[in-house]
Amino acid sequence: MKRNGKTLLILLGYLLSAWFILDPGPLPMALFVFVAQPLIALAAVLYVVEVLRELKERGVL
Amino acid sequence: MDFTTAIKILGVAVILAGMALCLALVRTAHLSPLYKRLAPFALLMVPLAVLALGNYHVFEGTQNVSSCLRCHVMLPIANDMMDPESMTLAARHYKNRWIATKQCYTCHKDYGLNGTIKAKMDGFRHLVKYTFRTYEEPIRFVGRFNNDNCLQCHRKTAKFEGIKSHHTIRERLEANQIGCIRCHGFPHPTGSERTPGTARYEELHRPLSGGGGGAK
Repeated sequence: MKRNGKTLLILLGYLLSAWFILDPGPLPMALFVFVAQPLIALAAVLYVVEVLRELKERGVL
Repeated sequence: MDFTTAIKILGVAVILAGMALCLALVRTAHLSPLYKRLAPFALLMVPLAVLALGNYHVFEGTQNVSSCLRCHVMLPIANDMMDPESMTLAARHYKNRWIATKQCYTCHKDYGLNGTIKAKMDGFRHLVKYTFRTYEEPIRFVGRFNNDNCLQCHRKTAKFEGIKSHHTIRERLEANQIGCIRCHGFPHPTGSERTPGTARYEELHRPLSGGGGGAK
């Protein structure tokens, strides 16, 4: 679950984004702005943290 | 094909590609060489591209009248604007084609350095209120209308400059101390006309024929 967590967040974000892009009504827009965006951003940040942590462990940083 | 449709198609294509990448990543051994090659695209670049496209859709798509009409509270405003008999400011600008496209956005985006950002923040506030139904009809304008929305077109035109009172109150107009509508009438149907239960409310809420009468 931990290793797939970021992927799941992004996939959920993608589904909501696709709904909004195809049908830009108020509810899909609210879900994109207030749910999908934070989910995708969180997954991206978690990935960057993972990369930085590994680089530190290897002594690159 | 217009630009918005192209962005829509591109958005869906990028999302499908992103989903395929995510599924491929799930099936790959964690931290294997292939995982490390896929992960930057699956977890960073493609998601950020989707966010960029989605936000473009939010910022550009909401400029069209059809976008405003997706919320039913805007129906009376749009119905009145497209009514050739109406004499509100919005209707006069619409029927005379003084503003040919993006009629709502043109008068409500707030001009100036931070104007568009403020308009978007207001849009997010409206979105929250509409989604959670935390509003009451008739909806009312919050804050003070920025005269720059009018002056950006009217300022320095011969017709505007030819009216003596405009010179008398120019500083107050520029400073938003006095509103243009004080002399030029209501921009939209009044609050009492948009109050539920009134006959005018029902009339203003009738569905638009043709989904917007050609408004863009």
